[in-house]
Amino acid sequence: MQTTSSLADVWAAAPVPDPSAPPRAPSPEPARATPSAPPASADDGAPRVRPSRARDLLDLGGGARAIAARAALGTGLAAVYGLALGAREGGLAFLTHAAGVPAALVAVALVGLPSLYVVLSIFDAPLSIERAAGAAARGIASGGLVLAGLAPLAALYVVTSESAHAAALTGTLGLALGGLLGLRHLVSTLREALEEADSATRLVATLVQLGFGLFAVLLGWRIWTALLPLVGGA
Amino acid sequence: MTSPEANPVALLLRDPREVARRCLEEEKLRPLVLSSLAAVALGAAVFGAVVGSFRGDEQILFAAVKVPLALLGALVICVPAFHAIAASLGRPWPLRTVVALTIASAGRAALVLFAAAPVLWLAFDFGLGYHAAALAATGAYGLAGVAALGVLVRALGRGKHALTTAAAFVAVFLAAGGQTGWILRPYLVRPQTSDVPFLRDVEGGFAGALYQASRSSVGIYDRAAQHRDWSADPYGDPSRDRRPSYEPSYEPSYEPSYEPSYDPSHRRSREPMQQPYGAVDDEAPWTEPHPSRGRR
Repeated sequence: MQTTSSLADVWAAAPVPDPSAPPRAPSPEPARATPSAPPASADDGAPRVRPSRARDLLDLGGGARAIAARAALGTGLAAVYGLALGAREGGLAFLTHAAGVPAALVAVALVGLPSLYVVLSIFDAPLSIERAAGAAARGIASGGLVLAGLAPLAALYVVTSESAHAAALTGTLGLALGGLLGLRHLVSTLREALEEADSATRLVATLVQLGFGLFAVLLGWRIWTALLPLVGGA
Repeated sequence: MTSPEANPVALLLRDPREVARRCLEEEKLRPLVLSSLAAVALGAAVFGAVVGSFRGDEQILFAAVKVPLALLGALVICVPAFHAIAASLGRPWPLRTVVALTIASAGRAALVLFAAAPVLWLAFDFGLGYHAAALAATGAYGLAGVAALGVLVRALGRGKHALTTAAAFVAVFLAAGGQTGWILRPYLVRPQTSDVPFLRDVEGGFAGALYQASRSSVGIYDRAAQHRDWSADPYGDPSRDRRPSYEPSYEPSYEPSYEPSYDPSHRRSREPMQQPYGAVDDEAPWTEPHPSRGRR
C-alpha cells in the first residue's frame, strides 16, 4: 500500500536504492578498458535507474489518500503551465490561465470517468471504483507533469512571440500534447485493468474507451477555449 | 593514448553508450558534466566566432558569446520537458539523470561544432556566399544534433516508446533552440552591413520565420509586400505580378566587374550589392536583413 507518507519519503530522499533491484554490481571500471566494452549493469544488461519522483507520481498503487495526493499534485503541475501562458498578459491572466489549464483535466476525470465506469459495469467489465479512480489520478498526474515540463518552453514562446497568433498556437500545441499524454495514461491504465476480461468484454471496452477518448478531447478543448484567453476564451 | 575511461572528453566522443549508462546510473557524473559544460562553452564559442567572422570585427565576439548562450538557454528550457516526456512515456528518470544526459549530449554536439569550425572558416575564406554560408553553418549544426542524439538514443534503449520519446526530444529541442536562437540573432551578418547590434529587436518569431521561409521557397515574399511602398515601386505589387526579377539572384549580372571571381555577398571591400526589390530570402532565423532594405 502506497501512502502519502511513503510518497513524501521518496520525494525527500536523495539517492534511494530500488529495493526490488538486484544488488549493484561492483565498479565496472576494470571491465571497461576499451570503448567498445559492454556496459556492466544489472543482470539484464539495462542500466539501473534509481526511483524518481516522477515514477512515484505516476504510480498506480496506494489508497484513497495517495490517489488524491497524486491528482492534486498533477493539478498543481498543470497550473504551472497556466502560469506560463498567462505570462504574455501578466496580472490577472496568470490566475485565469493557472485555473483554466487544470480545469480541463479535472473535468474529464470528474465528469467523464463516472459515465465510463457505469457503461463498463453494464458490460460486466472487471473494473473497480478504486482502479478507475487510480487511472484518473494517473491521467491527471501524467498530463500535469508533461504540461509543467513544457511550461518553460511555452513561456519562452508566449512571451517572445511578436504575434498573438503564434503565442496562441504554441500554447495550444503544449495543451494538446499534455492533454493527449494524460489521456493516453488514463486509457492505458484502464486497459491494463481489463486484461482479465473475456475477449468480447475487451472488445466492447475498447469501443467504449474510444468513445471516452473522443469525449475527453472534445470536453478538454471546449473548456480550454472557454476559459483561457490566450486560446480565445473568456 | 588517453583511455576514454580516464578522459571524459574522449568518452563523450568515443563511447556514447557508456556516457548514457553513467548518466542513468548517476556514476562519476561530476567530471562528465563539467567536461561537457566546458565543451559547450569552448566548442560553441569557437563555432560562433567563425560564423561571426563572415562579417568580421565585433560580430566575431558577439557571435562567440551568443552561440553558447543560445545553446545553454535551450538546454535549460529542454530539461524539464525531457524529464516530463520521458516519464510520461515510460522512463521516469530522476531529474539529475535528465540534466546529466542533456548536458552530456550538448557537450558532444559542441565538440562536433568545434570540429566543423575550421572547415567552415576555410570555406568562408574561399569566398563562400552568404546563403551558402548559412546553409553550411546549418549543416554543421545538424551534424552536431545527430551526434547529441547518439547519447540520448542510447539512454532510451530499445524499450517501448523509445522512438516516440526520441522524436519528442528532437521536436522539443528544435522548438527551444529555434526560439532562443531567434531571440539572440543575428549571428551570420553580411559583410557590407555597417552597424551590427548585439541583439535585434523582436520581430516575429521562430515559428513565423519557418512559415515565411516555406512561402518564400515557393516564391511568395510576404514581408516584402508588407515593408515596401508599392506605389513608388517601378515594378509594381508582387502579389499581382511575381516576375522573375523578384527572385533573389546573385547572378554575374549583379556583380561588379572588377571582382568577377567572388560572390558579391561576401567581400567587405565592395559596394553594396544591387538587389531587386523584394529579394528577402535572407530571413533565415539567424541572419541579418540586407541593408538595402533599410529596416534598421
